[in-house]
Amino acid sequence: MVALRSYILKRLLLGILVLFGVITITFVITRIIPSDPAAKWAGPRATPEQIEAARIELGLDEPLYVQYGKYIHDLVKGDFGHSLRSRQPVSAELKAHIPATIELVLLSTVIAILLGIPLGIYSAKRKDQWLDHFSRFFSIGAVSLPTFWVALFLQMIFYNILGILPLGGRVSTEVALLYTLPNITGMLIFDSLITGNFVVFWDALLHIILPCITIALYPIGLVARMTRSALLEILNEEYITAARSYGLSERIVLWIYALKNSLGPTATVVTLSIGYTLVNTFLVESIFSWPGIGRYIADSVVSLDYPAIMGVTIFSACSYVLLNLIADIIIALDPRIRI
Amino acid sequence: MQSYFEIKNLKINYNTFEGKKNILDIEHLKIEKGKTYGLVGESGAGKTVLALTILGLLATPPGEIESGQIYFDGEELLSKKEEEMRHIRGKKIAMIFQDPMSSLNPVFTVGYQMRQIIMKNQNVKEKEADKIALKMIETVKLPDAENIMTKYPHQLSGGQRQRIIIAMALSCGAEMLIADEPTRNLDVTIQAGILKLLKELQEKLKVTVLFIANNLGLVSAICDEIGILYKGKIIESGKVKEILNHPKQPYTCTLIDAAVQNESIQQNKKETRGKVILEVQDLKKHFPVNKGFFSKPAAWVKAVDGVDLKLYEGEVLGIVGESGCGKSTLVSTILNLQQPTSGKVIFDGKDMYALDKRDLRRTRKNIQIVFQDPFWSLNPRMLVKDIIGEPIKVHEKNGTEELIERTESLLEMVGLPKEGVFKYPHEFSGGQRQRIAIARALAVNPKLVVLDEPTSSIDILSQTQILELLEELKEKLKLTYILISHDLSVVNSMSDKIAVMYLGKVVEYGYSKDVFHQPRHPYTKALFNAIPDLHMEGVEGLVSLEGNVPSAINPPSGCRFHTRCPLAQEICSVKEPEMVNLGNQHSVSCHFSEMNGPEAKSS
Amino acid sequence: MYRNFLSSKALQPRIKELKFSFYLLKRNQLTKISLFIVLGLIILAIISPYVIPYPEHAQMGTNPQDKLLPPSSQYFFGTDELGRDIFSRVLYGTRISLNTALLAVGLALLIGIPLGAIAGSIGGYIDEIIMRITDIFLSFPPLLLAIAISSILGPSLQNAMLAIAISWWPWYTRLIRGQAISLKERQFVKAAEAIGTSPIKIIFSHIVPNCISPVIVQASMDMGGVILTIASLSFLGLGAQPPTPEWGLMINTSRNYFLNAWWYSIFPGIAIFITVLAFNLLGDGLREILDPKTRKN
Repeated sequence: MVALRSYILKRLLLGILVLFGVITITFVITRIIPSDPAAKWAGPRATPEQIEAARIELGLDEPLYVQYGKYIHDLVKGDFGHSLRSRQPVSAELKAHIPATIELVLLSTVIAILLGIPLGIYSAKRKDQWLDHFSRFFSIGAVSLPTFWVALFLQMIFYNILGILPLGGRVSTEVALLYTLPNITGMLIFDSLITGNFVVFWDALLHIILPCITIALYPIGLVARMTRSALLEILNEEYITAARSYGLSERIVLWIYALKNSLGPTATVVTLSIGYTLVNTFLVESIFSWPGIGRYIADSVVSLDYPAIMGVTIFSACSYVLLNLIADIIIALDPRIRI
Repeated sequence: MQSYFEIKNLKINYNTFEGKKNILDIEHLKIEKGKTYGLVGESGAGKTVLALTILGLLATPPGEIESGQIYFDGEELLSKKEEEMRHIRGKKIAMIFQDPMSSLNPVFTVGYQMRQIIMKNQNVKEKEADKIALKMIETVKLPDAENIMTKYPHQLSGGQRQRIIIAMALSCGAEMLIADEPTRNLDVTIQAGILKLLKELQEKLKVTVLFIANNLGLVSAICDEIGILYKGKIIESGKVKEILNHPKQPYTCTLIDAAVQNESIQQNKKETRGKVILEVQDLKKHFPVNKGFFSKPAAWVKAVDGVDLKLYEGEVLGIVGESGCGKSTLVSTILNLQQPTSGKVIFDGKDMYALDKRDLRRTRKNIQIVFQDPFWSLNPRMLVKDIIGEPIKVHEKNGTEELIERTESLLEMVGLPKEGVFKYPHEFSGGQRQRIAIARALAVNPKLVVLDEPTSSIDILSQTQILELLEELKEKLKLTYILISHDLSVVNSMSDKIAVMYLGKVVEYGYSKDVFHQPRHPYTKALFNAIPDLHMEGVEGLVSLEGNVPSAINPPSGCRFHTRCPLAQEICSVKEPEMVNLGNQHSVSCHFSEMNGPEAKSS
Repeated sequence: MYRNFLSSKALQPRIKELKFSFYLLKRNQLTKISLFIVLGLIILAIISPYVIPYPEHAQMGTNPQDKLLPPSSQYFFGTDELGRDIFSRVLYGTRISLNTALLAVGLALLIGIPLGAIAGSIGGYIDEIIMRITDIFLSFPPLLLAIAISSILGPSLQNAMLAIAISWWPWYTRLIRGQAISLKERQFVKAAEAIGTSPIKIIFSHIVPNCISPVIVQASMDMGGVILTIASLSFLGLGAQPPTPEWGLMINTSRNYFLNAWWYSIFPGIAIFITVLAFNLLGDGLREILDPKTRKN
């Protein structure tokens, strides 16, 4: 147990180091921007004096290490600077956009795992049979599709041709006008469900279907592929042959002996799939007018709003590091590492 | 009348890209009930394939059973369905695997795995199964069974794991056991214990055993009948004595020669004394364990812990000891691959670790090494001319043509055609590759050559030839050898002197004949008597040591061997014995070396 | 005379290896088909400027009187909002995507291989520093770092390529480091050390040649992902700029018209899908063919 604790501690330290690195990289890239942020801040028709004033206001006149110190100091306080577009604090804007994305990411990840893992397992179990061929082709196809195109394609079919699903947004305008939208966690589906507001719930559900499927597609393929190859590798191990030689049934061999060994790979798969769903939101949220950080960053990118871009980058990288940390701790529960 | 177990005309092919390849072609093999049959063959002869085929676990494809029948207790196995085979596997026939580490599931406790097997095969509830498992663990003579049940495989030692594997096979209640080289990955002193256990259990439980091994010595000690498997065919079979005394096939003769041991101690080794070429003084090499990024090392592995050696020009020094005794570390320190923690290595009068770069290079040229595994020791992407030419390029300046001529003559010197210089290593067989490795070692005319298990990875036929070649080159080029081997017959046939190592220390040192004939350290004795020799009747004569090799992180206090020593007294755990010279350069570190003298050998 | 030996005998084992690979390839239909598609795409990338029906539409030229026409025998894939032939633009896009992806992967390899080889073979603090840096790079979700970097560098295809290379190299460093570590323990490296070969020579003549092939395989498998990333960056407005006929950019522009001009978004998307799919299938097949486990059986 002592070893496990020290391993987790070590991993934690490494995580902090990595976060520090992430912050440093974002700092470095914002300070080597070819275009002048002060000019941007002062506006398109600013005089040189105004730009100079903006430079002092933004603290860009100070030496780099002072800027770096301030940057970290501000970040620790939760201050990501001000958006160049709206002049609002980035942290406030992030706070407003994050719940919608988390809702989407969570739901898509659950779909990806619920579909991907069984697909991978059955594919490995029936290696080289038609189900395996189908699942392999499907999973490679899924990771080859451009997500943003799938989004447009699905809109075309389900909105334009069939007319059964809404084009975008989180709720229809009528519903939003007629009902007060519950706001507890910021995740609409969840909130409407716990407040018992089923009209809103149903409407929100219809709205989330298309973005969710679009985003989940890539991770489903990824999860299925990784599960399959991890399981196949384990099934080739000698201890599996040994278990069979003792007459243990295939059921025990596959679902107990092999699956417990794949705990580590599975944890990795889940982390990865969350990472991919997160990134996919960047590409499709604006298509579905989904008010999350994906749309926020896409809009910021177009207007080159660096503080906003860095805010999203730091937030996403931090949550990703945290997820990886959790996955590593789960893997550490594997007795082989617990020395 | 059918025998209890019988194989008829079994033909198994493997589908490879070059077409079908026959890997097993057994005309006839039979085992009577309650007997032990030994199948001897080298790796690649098809032994494991046979074992898996019997249990219906052969992967098809690439395997393919062309024809044949396997009868077991009146039933034909090959025509059975998978479902029916599941009732045979474990319950009727169980297998003991070669590598106990990879055949135990790493994420379940030993107890859990045994419980699963027992519940399946004996139709009992969990509690009952636990009781049976405990009994089985006791049967295989592991102390503290309850504790062992809660352990994960990696927490056990190799010997313990192999005993657990045996317990698992037995707990199925099988009538027949297939033991696939069950002692291959174990140290000799542990191996003896497993052999004894197997023999005892076989007699007690009256099971039939198919014992697969690569060494005739092992098989002859515990089997009733043996068969020699060569390239998929049984070329000779019969009663053990008959085959040993009247082998009909030349291959069998080679196997017998390879297994012959202590009886052939060479008496003609000279006792000349040239000048000292290598001297190792109080050499220590400790490795830090669990070193964090900032923290101090938690502990030290004392891989080599105070070794003194003296090597005279033209001598062959054999170093023996079990895995983990520190022989490899000792060698890499001598070769200047690792800085020692303390102590000196003096080569040709110069302290190796006090030389400047240029002198070191010049000195280093004089010490070369031949590694154990010729499959890993030659860069697969290089032509033979570049492999052999590498040391020449490093140490001398030469033109290309000249270099090629040099490599050609080196190849001829080690008995390979000179056309080989433009080939890649994988175009050669194991024995030939080892010759290339030897040619490379000799390319810059070294004085001292370290031979690290030079024959243990190549086939038996080539082994003898390589040893002869080494012997011949030694005379011709006036070389000095350090020979490391776990194979005592190799050490025995080549060395003038022997150093026995245990846990980082030399415990006995002297002329081969003295050490072999009059071993004075109890560990040396155990080591020499742990390997069954050909004419041993049964396994009772084997010496097996109790317990496991202690960790080099925390070596036992006093005499390091006292935890396993049959002679241990109180003093042994307190005081570390000095190296005592017994005359004729024979020295030993044991408190009881006097009473453990030659006359006490029989006890 | 030595030259003769070199040409005939030395090549034999290589030829045997190749034959074996072809044998495995023959067994795997899907991989074979994808190989043909990839070869076709490469040829198309090379010849596209000379074969497309409206070469000027792939450049600056416009044709406003024919805007947003549905597919016809004149315009196979229809036209866009400036009346340009989508068929010509999609075909020309192959050239842009393959070219950019190849450069990005090549650049990533150029950074990744030496760093990984050094980290793995030297170890110690150098290894620690290099690997912590790669850890930091790898702890960004995929694509995010590329978005951040290319938005900072300024939106252009070249910068997108650079951004991808910068966010991709740590994968190769990690891969080659693992290889180098296992190779370092191989006896032939130990043997070279014992001979007295210098550490740098050991890295570049013993370690790198033996671990480079899995990295090359990995890189070729990454082509699909990189092409997809380029399209994604362009879709966000960070990659290619108009009027470049880049697939992602075309889809981005098509968003404003897709409800009435379905062909505008569909065809570039299919082009991305087929290209990425072919590379991924080929990569998957290659992995299996070159996997030592498959080869052993």
